[in-house]
Amino acid sequence: MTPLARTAAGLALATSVVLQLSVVNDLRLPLGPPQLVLVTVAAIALLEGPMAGSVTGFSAGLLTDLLSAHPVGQTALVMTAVGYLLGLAYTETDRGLAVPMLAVAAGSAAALLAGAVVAALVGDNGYTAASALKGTLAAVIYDVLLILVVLPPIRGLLRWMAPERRP
Amino acid sequence: MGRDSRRLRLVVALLLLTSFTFLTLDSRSGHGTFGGARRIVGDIFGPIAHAVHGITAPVGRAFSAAIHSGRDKNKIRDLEKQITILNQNIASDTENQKARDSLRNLRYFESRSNSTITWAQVITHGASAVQDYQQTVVIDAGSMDGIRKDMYVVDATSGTGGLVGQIVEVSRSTSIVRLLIDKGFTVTVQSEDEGLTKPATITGQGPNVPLRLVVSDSQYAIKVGQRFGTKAVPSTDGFLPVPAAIPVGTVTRVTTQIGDNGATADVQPFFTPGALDYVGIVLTQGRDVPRIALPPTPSPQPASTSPSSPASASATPSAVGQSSHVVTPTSPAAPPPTTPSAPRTSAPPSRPPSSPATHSPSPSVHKSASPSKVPSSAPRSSARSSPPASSSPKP
Repeated sequence: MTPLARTAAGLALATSVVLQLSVVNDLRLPLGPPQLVLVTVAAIALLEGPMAGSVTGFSAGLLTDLLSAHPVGQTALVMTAVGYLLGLAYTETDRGLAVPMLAVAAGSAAALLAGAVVAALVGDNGYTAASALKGTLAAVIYDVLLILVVLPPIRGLLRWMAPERRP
Repeated sequence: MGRDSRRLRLVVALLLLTSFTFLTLDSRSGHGTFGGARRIVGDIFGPIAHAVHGITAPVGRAFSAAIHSGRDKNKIRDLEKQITILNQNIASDTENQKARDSLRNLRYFESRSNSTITWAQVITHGASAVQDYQQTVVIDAGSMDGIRKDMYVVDATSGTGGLVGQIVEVSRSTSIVRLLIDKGFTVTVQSEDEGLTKPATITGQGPNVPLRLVVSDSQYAIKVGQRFGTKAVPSTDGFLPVPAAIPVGTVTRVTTQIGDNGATADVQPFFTPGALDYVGIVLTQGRDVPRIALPPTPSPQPASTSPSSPASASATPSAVGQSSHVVTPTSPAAPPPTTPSAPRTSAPPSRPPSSPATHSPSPSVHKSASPSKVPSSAPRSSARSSPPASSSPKP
């Protein structure tokens, strides 16, 4: 990633965190909230590869952790892994939306379930198996739709900020 | 290619290791390791979230109202626009009205519980941008407003002043509140009526699950409809003392009347988690605290009779989205919601005998002791409520 593309990714990430907290969490959709930050990380990973995916995932997780009340590292750990794994789908996502949608569905499920497990290991027992499954189901359903909205502007942003790079 | 993939693996391993180290450090130290970093990030993102909330809260309300009003888009597109504009005006008016009501609720609770309270607005529901299963809200008051970690937070949206939670993280202008319904949140309580001498606690069980009351006295009979409030626990080891007399909840179901570890019951809190808007933070509490400072009616303040009664009456019809939820928690607390026309007459029977007595002497004693905090909340209300009002006539 060029420095400009990194700046673009950082901007997208910060925006997604603010929007998730102030807007998305307030929508009170059935089952649970969509995971805008996760989808943003997924979009960057799918567009830029596993290196960018893991670094973006780590940054997003760390930022989330520092803003929240749970231990720092809890989200960063999960998001690094998910960003890396989603980045592995990079080469096949030149065109079309089927691969990003499938990848995001798998990534959301993995992130939410792994997040619940890590939270349990840390001793933050603020959930039940039912609420974890409900949250995962919500994330998978909403995130698959959300990637359709998030992917094009992030692709545009990355191309605009770093036009010399050819995907 | 081989070199690239080796570098990639190294970076990913490093990042995972760093996360794991952070996690171990922070959970071992009880969230102390990253206090400085948390404050810095909170200082940067808090004001941004606050500003975004200021834009999205009224617009979002108007937006949802517009969606519900206009199904047939082709026919009533023009009407839709007008409705959106009108709803924006209504939303900002409602905002002002709610701010006024909540301020009055807090003042009343302040005098009832003999405590100093500053008020704040909820800016985000949930502090984590990625699902973390904790029940939290972020409020727009921080260390600049005198907020400290572990302070208790009460509801100002409804008139009950019920316990909402406790401050867990503080930055300059925002703080994170852990809600009462968060799993594992425990508070020592006492019953509204006397007779319960053994210790009792109420513990959060997670979202959409009633709170659990545990009374260690197996001889004590819990009754449905019984109300519990916080019991003062003296400060030990530098922790903040638990303020007394904050209403916590009403018993909805007795689960174990006589068990090995005592009696247990389901308890409904006095606030609606999704409808939280304005809250109060208990800064200090004076002496001579009543048992539980429960409100007699949904419309308090008997002092200012004529201006306050139409104001509180109009608060109920203004229940566009959230206020309808706000009304519900008061219904188990007091019978008056069924007869809103004459609320004040039904007040005395539902009250504990101790609270009217302390109501009159407490404000004079305690407000002279710390006068600086109380007026500070008054300018905040006018400062916050005026921007939506001034912007509303423009469109």
